[in-house]
Amino acid sequence: MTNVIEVKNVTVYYTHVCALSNVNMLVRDKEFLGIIGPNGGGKSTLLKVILGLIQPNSGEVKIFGQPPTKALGTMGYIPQFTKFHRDFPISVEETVLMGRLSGGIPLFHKYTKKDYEIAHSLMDKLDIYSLKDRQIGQLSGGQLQRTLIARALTVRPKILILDEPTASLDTESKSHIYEILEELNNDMTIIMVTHDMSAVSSHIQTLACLNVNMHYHGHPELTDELVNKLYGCPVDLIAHGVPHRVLKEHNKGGHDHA
Amino acid sequence: MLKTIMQYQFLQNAVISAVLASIACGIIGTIIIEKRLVMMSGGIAHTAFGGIGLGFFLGIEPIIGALVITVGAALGVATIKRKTSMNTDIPIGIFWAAGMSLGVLFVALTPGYPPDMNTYLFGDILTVSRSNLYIILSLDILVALAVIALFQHFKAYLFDEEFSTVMGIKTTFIEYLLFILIALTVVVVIHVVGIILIMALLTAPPAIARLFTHNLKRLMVYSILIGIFFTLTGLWLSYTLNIPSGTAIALFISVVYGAVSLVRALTQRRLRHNNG
Repeated sequence: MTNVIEVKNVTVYYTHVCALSNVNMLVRDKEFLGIIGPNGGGKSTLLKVILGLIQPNSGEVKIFGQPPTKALGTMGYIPQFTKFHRDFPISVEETVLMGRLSGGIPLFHKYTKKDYEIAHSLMDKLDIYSLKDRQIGQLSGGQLQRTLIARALTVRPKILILDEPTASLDTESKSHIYEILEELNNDMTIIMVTHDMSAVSSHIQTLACLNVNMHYHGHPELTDELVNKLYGCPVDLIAHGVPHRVLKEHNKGGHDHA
Repeated sequence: MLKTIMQYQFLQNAVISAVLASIACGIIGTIIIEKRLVMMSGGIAHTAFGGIGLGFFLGIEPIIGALVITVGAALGVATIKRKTSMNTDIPIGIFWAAGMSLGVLFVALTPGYPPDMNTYLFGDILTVSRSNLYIILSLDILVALAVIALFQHFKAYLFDEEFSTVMGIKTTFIEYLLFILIALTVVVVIHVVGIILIMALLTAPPAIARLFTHNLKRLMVYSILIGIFFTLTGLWLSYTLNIPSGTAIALFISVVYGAVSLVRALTQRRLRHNNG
């Protein structure tokens, strides 16, 4: 088994606030890793360090043995779609084509016929081809998310990195996104930050629990003790209605926060 | 009026500079609205006044003084935006005030009879000289060429900076370039509507153009056309009603923008009413 991502002793400070403290993590090839943790726990920061958007104050990150800035084109990034300015004047097709842009500062850049072919076949695959001329503000959440997945895939990445891909989506759109991700997982490594505990049980292979420190990394079965430590209170509700329990049974008589 | 334009060179210069200002403003105005840089652009624009004062003080062409100082201020603002996590509205506000004050200070320090600063504050399109026109034309070409040459990369930077950075696009370079282009645009527009009224010509045309298209390229083209309509109509109003040109243009822009917004609000309400 090869490690595609190595995170070694990474510490990140935002001015005086510690966002990540001495985090270590190895991600194997074709792994489907879910990262959970409370808000402000450093999940998005960890993704940004891996993507090379943030330089850690100490420690290092290697992508296929190289620093992230040298690993351009190996990672497809799908940012939190809820943070977009959805009124930006750009169509679905233009958005997806963005993934074909080359780095640096090439003048008078024009997309080639091949760029269009790649973009169109991915849009077709993700069922958004018919929406290609729509402005992104006129899409549903699920459609926008699929547009962003298509854009990340046009990079032809080996690693797919998603930040809360199912936040504020309805159940149907959510399961559609997970189906897509599971299929993609046959060809690529996937790292996903999520708050969606149902995904933890049924879709991901390994789980990382992050709250400034890395509390757990391994098989996706959480213990009460761990969740208590991570979120500071039992997160009982989230296990309801999940076919295969994420959380072990609570000790009866414990302080119920729910 | 057409016959008079043919006769007098100062009117020809006025028309040409109005068109040139609309081109730069249509392109850069669209960008600053989409990137939400209106406040920062305002800060950069007002430092131009300091540059004009400096020009008078040093005895050089005031527009050259404005060019140097606004480009410097633009680089400063871009650095502040990049380096601090603090609310940038505050340093921008200080830039704004400091730029204006420096202008007044330099003019006060300039020996002899104080120059008329109203031309620069409120614009006087009828005083644009041939040499001014050449400066405006070259800055215009620079702005248009830079955005056309890097159009796809500008679009990617405006829409999603993080994704673009991950793609290896030099977003820091593009951002600094953009701020320099904002500074150049400010200098282009000073003579046409003046420092105080620049923001009207930068923001209103793209805001109106947005109602008609969802395509960035078309948005820029429409903004340019709307800007030309605004400046030329304003010029005509100023000529026939005998009021200052910058004021005529800015007020005309405000009235049209207000009317368009009102019509839009009313039609949307009717749509909602009919649907509900």
